[in-house]
Amino acid sequence: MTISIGLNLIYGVMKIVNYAQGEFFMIGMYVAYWLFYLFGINPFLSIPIAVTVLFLLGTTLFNYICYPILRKPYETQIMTFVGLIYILQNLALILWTADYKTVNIPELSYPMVIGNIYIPQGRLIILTIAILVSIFIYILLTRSNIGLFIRASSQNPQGAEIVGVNTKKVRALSMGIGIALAGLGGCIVLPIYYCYPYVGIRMGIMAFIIITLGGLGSFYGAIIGSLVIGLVESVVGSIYSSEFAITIALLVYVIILILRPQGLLGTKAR
Amino acid sequence: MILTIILFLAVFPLITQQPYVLHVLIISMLLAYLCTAWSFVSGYSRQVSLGHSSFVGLGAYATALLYYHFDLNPLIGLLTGIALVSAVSIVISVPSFRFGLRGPYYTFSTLALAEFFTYLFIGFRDFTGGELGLALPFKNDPFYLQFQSKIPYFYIILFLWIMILIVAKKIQNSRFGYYLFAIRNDEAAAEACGIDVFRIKILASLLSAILTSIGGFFYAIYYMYVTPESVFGLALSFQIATTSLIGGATSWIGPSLGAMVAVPFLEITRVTLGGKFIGFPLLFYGIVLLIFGRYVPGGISSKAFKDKERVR
Repeated sequence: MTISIGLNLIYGVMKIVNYAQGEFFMIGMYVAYWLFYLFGINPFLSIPIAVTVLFLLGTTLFNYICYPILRKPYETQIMTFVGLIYILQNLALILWTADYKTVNIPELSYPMVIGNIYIPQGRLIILTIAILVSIFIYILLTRSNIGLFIRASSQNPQGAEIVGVNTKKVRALSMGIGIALAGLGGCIVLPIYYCYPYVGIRMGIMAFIIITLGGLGSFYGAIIGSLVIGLVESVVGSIYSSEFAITIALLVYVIILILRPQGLLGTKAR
Repeated sequence: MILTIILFLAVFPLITQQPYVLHVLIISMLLAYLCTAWSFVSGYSRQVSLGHSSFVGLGAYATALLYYHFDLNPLIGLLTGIALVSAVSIVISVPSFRFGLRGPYYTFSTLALAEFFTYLFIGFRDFTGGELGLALPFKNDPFYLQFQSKIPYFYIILFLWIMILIVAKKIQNSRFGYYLFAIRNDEAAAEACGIDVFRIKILASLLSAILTSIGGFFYAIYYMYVTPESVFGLALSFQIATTSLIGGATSWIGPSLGAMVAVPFLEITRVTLGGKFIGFPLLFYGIVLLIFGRYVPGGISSKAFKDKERVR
């Protein structure tokens, strides 16, 4: 969910689709993995470090790679971001090899009992952090000056520039935040998921599906999209096999998209 | 110039019969073929698809499954694949163009379609072999389009490639092609000029899908081994899209140029750097993509043939 919100933020502000979002998720995972491996830091505690690293990476990438192509046609953006996917994936392959890596923290798998429901603690913590971060981003966007600037440059860049908002900086900032959110997502799921160079692309696709389902650039849309896809996938997954779960989820996605091209909550373009 | 290249390729097997060299040329031409088919819809009319592997896969699997289970001639598989792909293409593109799926939304829906087929074919394990795919039995029978040497395959794909180049050239200089370019530049304006945008887009995507499925058929008879990941996977979609964009997706020769440069480049770097430096070839490829996106957005062909420049 955090990946989707980050992706949405980037699209909303710049009208650019960051196809490489999943790769940043992967980088976040590897940063957390490294910190755990080298210094034994718990993935949840390495969130600030991973977020800082990815935020810096995001703003740098914006300045050198995304800013020059902001007004270029759509194909150019695809080229750039698919190029980024190749670069990040293969960097990860070179640096960390193709092996599956996991972090094992036994305390996190202890169940927590509520009535007669058993939930592993780790998943509960992940859920809590995801919700907290979403609320934080929501407040940041609606209640703070930065949020005001971001929303202004998203709705009307020229207007925002006239009243004195440095849209370039705001865009760099939102790209940084968007990518940092993806990294944070990677950080927090590390204890329950494998980490390998191609993990990002699967996650990235899920994130795209979620945000286009909910409507590109819409904050609530991302949340509703995650719920729809998650529900379909787990319901079908428990009845049939997991491949069919994904198949059905994708089918539902294509059907919804065809019936409502702007997404469930998106605003119609033109 | 292109004529000399084709003539050179036509007599190439007389010069060397090294299987590896022929193999590289065959996959270059296959990719050139697929990229040209991709550019009809994604380059000329800018409905960028990142899911063309779904059509490659359907073509390949139609051929492979019919041969594997019912021992049917691959040509029957080819026809079945064409019928299947036309149906899928129409079912998908009619509603999506009718309801105005554009830009990123269209790209995502094609991406999702390819992923959908990947998991569908993995899911029907008993029939399709799941992730492991299908290895077709080798009969060494020319009737089944199976040959021991690579030369017949070389000529088949050379023929297909020349055909698609002719089609591409014809489209570019036809009314249909001008319609597509008008849609590319401004869809609303094109519609206002009286172009039936909906019909043109459907026709373009149908044509592109059918031609792509023929590429899938060739994949199946050449490799004789298909897996969902190799024919439906995103890697193939991305490869098709980026190669055409490097070459220049708006020109009839552009995608082929891209493939002729990219495939040997990747192969050579893979051979020289592979093993020890795994991952470097694609890393370089990514950097090349970034550079092209930044400085040469029209692709190689936009620099090579200035008069063909139609990118805005």
